[in-house]
Amino acid sequence: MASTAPRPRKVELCEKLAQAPRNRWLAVDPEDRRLVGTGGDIETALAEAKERGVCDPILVWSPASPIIRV
Amino acid sequence: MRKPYIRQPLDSPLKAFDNAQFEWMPMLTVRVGRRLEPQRIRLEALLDTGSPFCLFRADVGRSLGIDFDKGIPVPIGGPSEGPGEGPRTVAYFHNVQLSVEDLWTVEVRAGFVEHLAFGCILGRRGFFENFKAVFDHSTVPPCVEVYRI
Repeated sequence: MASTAPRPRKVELCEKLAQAPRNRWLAVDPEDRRLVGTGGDIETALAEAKERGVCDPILVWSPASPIIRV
Repeated sequence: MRKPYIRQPLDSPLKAFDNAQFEWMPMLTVRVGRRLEPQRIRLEALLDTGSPFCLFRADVGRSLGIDFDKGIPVPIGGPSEGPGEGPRTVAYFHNVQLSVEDLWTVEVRAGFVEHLAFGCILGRRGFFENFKAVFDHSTVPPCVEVYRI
């Protein structure tokens, strides 16, 4: 029987980020984990987030290539 | 404080590990700012016991107004050696204020690197000398517990 337990929000965030642009900063709403901004620099990602009403987003760097790093 | 890992997508499945298509990563949310200033930038940071240092992408330093390449230079590289050795680079170290999960604030000497695959890496000097971390892989997702020393 499939588990009906709610998955952690962070897992859902990951699935969104898998589709996100690469080699850019991503701004994520800390409340509902929505992607609210992207930019080649931090200021652009923050400005997009602010336009969407999120003034204190969490910034995540989306690497050019998501390979295993040791 | 206990926090579940974040699932990081991979470009191609891990053939050696049942074709896994993602990797669980221990990440914390931190805020960083210049010394004696508010911690302005909030970002996801990788907990990395293998790193001797805390590192940030250089553009984090630029955004904070830090003249990052005026810091103390330290050459750094990856773990591979010989002909296949990965590129070496230079980290420039500055003292910054680091707030961890909005619970604790510490001053750390962190390196700023032009090309880093993460916004922030929390390493041994600065982070693990101030915090104890327990990595629990007995659960799905794995979790990390962090305590201020």
